Amino acid sequence: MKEKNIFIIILDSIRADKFFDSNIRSQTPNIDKLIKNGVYFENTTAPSDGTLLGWSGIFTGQYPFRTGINLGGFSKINKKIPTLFDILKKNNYNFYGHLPEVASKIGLFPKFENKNVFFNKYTNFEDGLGEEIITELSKLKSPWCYILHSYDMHFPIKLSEKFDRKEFGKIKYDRVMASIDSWIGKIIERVNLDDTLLIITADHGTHINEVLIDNKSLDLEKDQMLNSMAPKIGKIIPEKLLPLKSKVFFALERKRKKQKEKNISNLNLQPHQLRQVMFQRGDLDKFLFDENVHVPLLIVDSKLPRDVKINELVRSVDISPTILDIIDSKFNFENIDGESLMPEIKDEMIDEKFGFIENTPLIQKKANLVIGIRTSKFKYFRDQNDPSKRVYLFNLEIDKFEENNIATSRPDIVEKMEKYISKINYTKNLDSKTPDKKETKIIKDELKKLGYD
Amino acid sequence: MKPNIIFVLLDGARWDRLSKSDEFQEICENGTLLNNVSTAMPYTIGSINVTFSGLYGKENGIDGYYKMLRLKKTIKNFPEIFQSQGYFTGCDVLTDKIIPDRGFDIHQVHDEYNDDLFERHPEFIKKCIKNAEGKPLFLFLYFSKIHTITVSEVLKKYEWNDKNFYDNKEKNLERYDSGFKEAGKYSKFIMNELEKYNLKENTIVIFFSDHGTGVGERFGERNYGSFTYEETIRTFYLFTGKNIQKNQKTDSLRATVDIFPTILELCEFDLEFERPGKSFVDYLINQENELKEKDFTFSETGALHGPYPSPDISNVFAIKTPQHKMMYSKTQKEWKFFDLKNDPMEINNIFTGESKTEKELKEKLEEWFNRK
Repeated sequence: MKEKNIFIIILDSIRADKFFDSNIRSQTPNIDKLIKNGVYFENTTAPSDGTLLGWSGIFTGQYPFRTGINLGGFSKINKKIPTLFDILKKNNYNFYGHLPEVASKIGLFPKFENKNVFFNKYTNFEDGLGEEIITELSKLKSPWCYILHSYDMHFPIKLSEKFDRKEFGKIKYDRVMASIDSWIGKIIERVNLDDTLLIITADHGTHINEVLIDNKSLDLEKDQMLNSMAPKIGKIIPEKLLPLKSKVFFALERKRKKQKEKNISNLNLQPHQLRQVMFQRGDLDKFLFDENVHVPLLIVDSKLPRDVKINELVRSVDISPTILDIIDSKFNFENIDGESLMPEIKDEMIDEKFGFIENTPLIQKKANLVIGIRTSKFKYFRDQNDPSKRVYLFNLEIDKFEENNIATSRPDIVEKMEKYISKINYTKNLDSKTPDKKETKIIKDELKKLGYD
Repeated sequence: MKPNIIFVLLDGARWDRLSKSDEFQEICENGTLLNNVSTAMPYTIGSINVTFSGLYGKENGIDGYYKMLRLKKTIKNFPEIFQSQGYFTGCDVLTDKIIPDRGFDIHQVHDEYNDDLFERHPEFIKKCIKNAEGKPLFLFLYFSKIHTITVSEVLKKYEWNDKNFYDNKEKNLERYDSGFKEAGKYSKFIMNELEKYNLKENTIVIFFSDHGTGVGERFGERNYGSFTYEETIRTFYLFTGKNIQKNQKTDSLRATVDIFPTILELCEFDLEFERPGKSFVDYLINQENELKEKDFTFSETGALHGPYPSPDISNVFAIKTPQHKMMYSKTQKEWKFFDLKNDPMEINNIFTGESKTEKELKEKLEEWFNRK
């Protein structure tokens, strides 16, 4: 039997609500057509709000904290952790790809057959990358697995004149989406979907700084010096001056925040809009709202049904086991967090899933990170190290913008979410610690005081 | 308006000595007494945290004396839950380690040797009413006199293997009763104080014992916490107040893990916790004439002193049915089996391991203490 080709497209920072939504504002005819031809998962949660952790979840089927990627800053994936590529290799797949440079440094991706795999992070489809991909697609040797990661929506956003027009959307995000869609159309045109499994997803979502007020766009990041200068600054500063760069960065962030606060003081923004326009990369208090982790997931394959929307919660960690299931792989993962989504696709009865989510740490500074749980009904997150700090719980069924924190009034749900966290054996769970010498002394002194010496 | 909930702990009170206090009997006439409630752990820190969390030690984090600071942050207990539902929460306890300050608006500690609880607790209640500013109250009062007498008259005078203690059970019991009489007076005093503050109408007061107190029945146990015999694991809960049936008493078997769901139901909280206990509200408010008895209850302990100390983690386990009790000592690898109906003092160990009942209870107990 002929092995099926696999095409995985990861669209950086693409949010589920911008990929498919009945009220969608962007122009995405090609994506819409693909959704009609495949299975779309409306409730997919990424494992993190950053690319490296997102990748590690997608390609190992495990939550990132297990993979070694986020230990002590960023490091390589633990070599002992099997990846989708290790398994596909056993199935004799050839690997091709176009990925941002950072992908070459984390030990996750396989040896690729094509040249010029890794591109500079400021390269978009319009910069020639799209054409290069189209050329490469004609040279693939089956069975192939092609990994494409688009950086078009990644900060700082550049937009070609062609798409920077009202007809492609009122805000910049929608216009970039339209541009990405047009390239997806051109690329998929070159792929025979009869013998190719196509996956389109995102590594994580993003904040949208731009809001519509009285149908007019307000972009508080527009013309910010750091946005436009970032590519140049990154290149010209020598490595030994990086700490200084970091200091300057955080100082500028503080200044920008103050300026923003002034600019929005008279605007009547909803809480979810406010938190998005006020978001800055240098913020030390991190969160895990859905704009950061609710991602699209589309699977198109000749043996799957068409135009099916699935509302149950699924996770990015389910992608790799699903791929292996669809291609009837002879080899498989053992003991991973992800599960094949074929039961959902076949509409079989399944237990409700939950997705674990964790912040991606800042490189330059220690940030206040959170971890949490996403179910189809609830979103929960709290301080990474202390379950009693920065606790947030939202009922997504009646509060999709996560504006009404019900953690205080629903301790039962909070406890249930903590049970999920404990179920996956999150390594930083303090409850698993046993008393140390200091604690034992406090206890012995206390017992003595009570007369039990 | 939600009812005020006031827990009054009579530390170390024995279920079989309640009749020694006229004052306590008087309160019983105004409420519902459950007189056969198995404590999950026969020592205060373990017991209170089971009652207030509705979870056994392994699940709530405190399954040994040395785990007293380990109440899991990820589970919710009474003060946190009541606070989350708009209550003002306060406690006055023997030590701040008895129960963490999580969820308490006021978390204060008294000095058992120098403070007069007959003065201190009315002041505490007054302070809570003032600070609550109209919110309903969840209060926890700790009466420590029996503990104080036990420490000064027993623990400080006798080593755990001192024969003089075990040879003088009657004298020990007399001394114990004097402490319980004080507890009875205190209980009535608190009820009168609540009346003064107009708190009786909309308040449920629960007088309860965390564990019993041995008076020399078992060699190696000078007070409690060493074994799982009736004198320490059988406790009582007396409910009085709003909607609670008066002059009602039952010896049906229940467990302290049942208190958590019962209180939540009494307060009609719209919350769903996963807990092992079962509510008995219907019996308290007289919608059921008989208290539905549990098929079995579990208890465990790890002694601080005695022949088989294990303060780190429980090493003695028991399963009790209305008729029998099966015990297991992990350290000794020894099973014991008692017929509670015909041998209520648990004198004759009739363990053979052969009868159907023994096999069933042994299997259930093993499954319980080996659970992950």
